[in-house]
Amino acid sequence: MKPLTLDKAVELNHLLQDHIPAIGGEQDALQFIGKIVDNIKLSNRHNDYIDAVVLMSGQDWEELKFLDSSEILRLFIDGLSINRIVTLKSFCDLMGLNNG
Amino acid sequence: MRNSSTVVLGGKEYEVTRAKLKRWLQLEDVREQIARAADREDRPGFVAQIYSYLSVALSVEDDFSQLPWFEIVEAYQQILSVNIPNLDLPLLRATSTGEKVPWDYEGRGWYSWANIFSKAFGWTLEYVAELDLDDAIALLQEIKADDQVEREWEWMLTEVSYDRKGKHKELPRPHWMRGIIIPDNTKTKIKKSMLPVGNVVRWNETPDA
Repeated sequence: MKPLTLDKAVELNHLLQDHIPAIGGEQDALQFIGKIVDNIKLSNRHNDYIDAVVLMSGQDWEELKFLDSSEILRLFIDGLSINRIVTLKSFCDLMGLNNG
Repeated sequence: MRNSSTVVLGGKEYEVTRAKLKRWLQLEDVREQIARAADREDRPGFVAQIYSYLSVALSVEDDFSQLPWFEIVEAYQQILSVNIPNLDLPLLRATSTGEKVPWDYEGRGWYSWANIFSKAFGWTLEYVAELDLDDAIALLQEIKADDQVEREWEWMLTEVSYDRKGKHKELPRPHWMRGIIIPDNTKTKIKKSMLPVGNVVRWNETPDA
């Protein structure tokens, strides 16, 4: 998996901005990503999870749907890590992209 | 304060030097476009303007659209920090309403500044374009302060600047010329025996008949 280009990273932020928890406290990366997944579940916007995996992996859902759910989760975790999701959200917040 | 920096994009090094006035105003125009695109939630427009900012700052037409997003953002932030004015001038703290005049056009910022400096000092466009950023902003503040003082003088000579009682009404100054008023919270104790007795009439008030 490769880091996203700026246009796609901005789309990723748009998909996940409402699900990313506030940064702080002593939580490790896995807990942080787990919280994002929990927030997606709670919001009932499950498509955001799928769309984010499709965007980050560069694969179609038609290819991904045959994967095991844990493999999809692995792609999600790797994608967020490679794309420095916290830095991405901070940048988009700073630039006023998340004010809407 | 840094006047230059090196940014790395796609493994290639680019030298970033502090922009002179004309280039800096172009960069500020692009920055405004970025902010507007963000306000409109125009994400493709936002991204296009970020690339445009890099191209203007680095004077290149290279295609950055396939590079990792964090390289672009890091370069953007480095360029931004090199081009921050060093002087902390009151004029820079003035808040803009963001409203555009009907005769506005793209790139007007530069012509507006060029007009002010040419009128004030008789400088050529080429000379104004190459002004150091801090010099330009400080000089602009001086020109605007002079203009205001001149206007205050003209205002003082007009009849409308006095009320019916002959009291002079001051011409309001722009916010940046008013300075920062620090409230004096220290209490001064005065002996009771020193306090005035009866009705107090101040020099600047006319007692009621």
